[in-house]
Amino acid sequence: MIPVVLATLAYGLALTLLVSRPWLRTHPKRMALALAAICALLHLPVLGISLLVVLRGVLGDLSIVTLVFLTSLFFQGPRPLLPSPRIFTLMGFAFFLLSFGLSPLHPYAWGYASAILPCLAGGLAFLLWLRGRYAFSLALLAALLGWRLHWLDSTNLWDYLLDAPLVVVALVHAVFCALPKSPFRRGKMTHPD
Amino acid sequence: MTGMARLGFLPRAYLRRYRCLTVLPLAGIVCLTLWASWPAFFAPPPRFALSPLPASQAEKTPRLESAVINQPDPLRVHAASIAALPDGRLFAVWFGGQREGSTDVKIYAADYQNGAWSPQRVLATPAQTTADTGRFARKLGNPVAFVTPRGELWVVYVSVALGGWAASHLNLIASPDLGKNWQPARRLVTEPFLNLSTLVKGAPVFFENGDIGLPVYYEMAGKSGELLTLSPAGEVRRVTRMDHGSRSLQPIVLVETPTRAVSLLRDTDDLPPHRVWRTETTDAGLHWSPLAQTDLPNPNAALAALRLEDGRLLAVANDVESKRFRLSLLVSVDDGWHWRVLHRFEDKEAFAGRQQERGAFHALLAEDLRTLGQMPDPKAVLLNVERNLCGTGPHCIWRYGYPYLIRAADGDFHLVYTWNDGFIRHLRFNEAWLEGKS
Repeated sequence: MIPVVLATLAYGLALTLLVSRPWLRTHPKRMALALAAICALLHLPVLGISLLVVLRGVLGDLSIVTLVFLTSLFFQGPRPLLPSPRIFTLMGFAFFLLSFGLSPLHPYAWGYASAILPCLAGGLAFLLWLRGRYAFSLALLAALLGWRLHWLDSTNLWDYLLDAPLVVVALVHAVFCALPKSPFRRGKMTHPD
Repeated sequence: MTGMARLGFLPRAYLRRYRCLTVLPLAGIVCLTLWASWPAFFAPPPRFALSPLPASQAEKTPRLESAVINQPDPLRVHAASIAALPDGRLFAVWFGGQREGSTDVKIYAADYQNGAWSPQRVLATPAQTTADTGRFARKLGNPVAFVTPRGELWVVYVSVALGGWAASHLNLIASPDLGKNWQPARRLVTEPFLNLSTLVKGAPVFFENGDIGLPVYYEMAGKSGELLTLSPAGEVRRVTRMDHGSRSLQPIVLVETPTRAVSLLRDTDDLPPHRVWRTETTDAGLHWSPLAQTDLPNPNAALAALRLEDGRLLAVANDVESKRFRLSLLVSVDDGWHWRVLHRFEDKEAFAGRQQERGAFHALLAEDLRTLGQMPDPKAVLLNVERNLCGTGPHCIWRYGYPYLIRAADGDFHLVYTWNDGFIRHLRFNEAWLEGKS
């Protein structure tokens, strides 16, 4: 039940943010209504199958970190995107490449019952809090909490910290930031952290 | 903008008011981290459970029995596995449809009781898997059935939402009453990238704490065997890879002691020689030695194996380097390095390398039918096999593969495999028959 609720919320937030326009984003009530409508639509069966079932079947569940970021984006309006997109892109790419089985390293295995990964995640959350990056820190802590309480179908901590759609978005954002005419480079938009 | 204000979704006034209490969140982070990682500090190292010794067989007469498990519809079947139930019954599962990978493929099952197989029944479909797991499943694949240490009957099977077998997921259905009632299927999350690319083929091993070690394999960018450990409740405990690269998959794990086991793997290397791969663990599957080749030829085909109580390893495999026209029983006395043929269950080597005219094929097929034992209408069997092996052309080829071998508590051996793409053949033999071949 909890995984379905969280998946509905995560995909609902993502789709709401994707389809929303500035005139909608400036009205919190309209945004909330749009979110509720999209969450309901996610469960509407079309030809016997709902969009949520297709998304969960093809993409899987989004991570808790993604859910926290989406929530943060939803409440903060159009200003921030992902915190530290370059770090996410690098981490994500290294992680997924190593998981493809082409090297002896298999970092995904560390996410099951090892104490190392939760300690690293907690340590990173600690450092981020000290540096004032509270949203990022809270996202990591929520992931740790969710992992321990088994909020998703997965028992692997990595699935609470990271997901492929998040890495793809981070990559697109990092590339966008690197472009000469990017609004990020001209100071029109700022990163939250 | 202050750092606190970056929280965004918390009121700024609230954050300013309690800024002096920054030590509390830090203490909270430490406590949460310790709480989350606490169980891992006290996890004991895994230990394999040794298989209980089968009953000593008083029967001295060699016995080899044969039967066909499935009906001619659907046209194609594959990837059978078999489990010996505590009440003496056998339970077999396989997948079937118009062709491998088509969307009409379902998981079928049948029971063996009082010397005969029951009619096949549908155990899982893509629609049912979608409904149960809440995740879209378009087609189904390899199932493996086994009885857990708790006495539940489990079937782990493959499903795909988009793409081919490289985009597979694993699903688990459990029956607490040995097949009478089944709980809804649930998805096992085993891979990080969209949970893609875990498949199952081999028989499970068990751990002393009741965990289940399922030999699975990964085949996306790389190909490698993995040991997937499940808790008695069906949660994934850990995954360990046996190799990296793309030279092996479909492991079989053969336990020797509580910490030592040997694994044999199908060869997928492009380069010859094509041999079964071997690796071993001395810490109950946490780490595996580098792969090494055995002397057992392998045409990129699955094999089955088990360990006898005297230490010998028994395997059923296509012991050729190309095609699957032969299926043999083999034995190894040196822990899987060297193999000797004991018996050929199927052998069409005389026709290897050349396609066969339909007329000659019919004659040989009719001869084979006489040895099959219990089976559906022979005419339907002939028609089905011809459609599978000859297609629309004038020539036909033979195919036997995907063996799955177990030993029941009464000491009998049970082998199931795909017989000419259209049927699941069950062979049952006793110790006297095996020793007669040794």
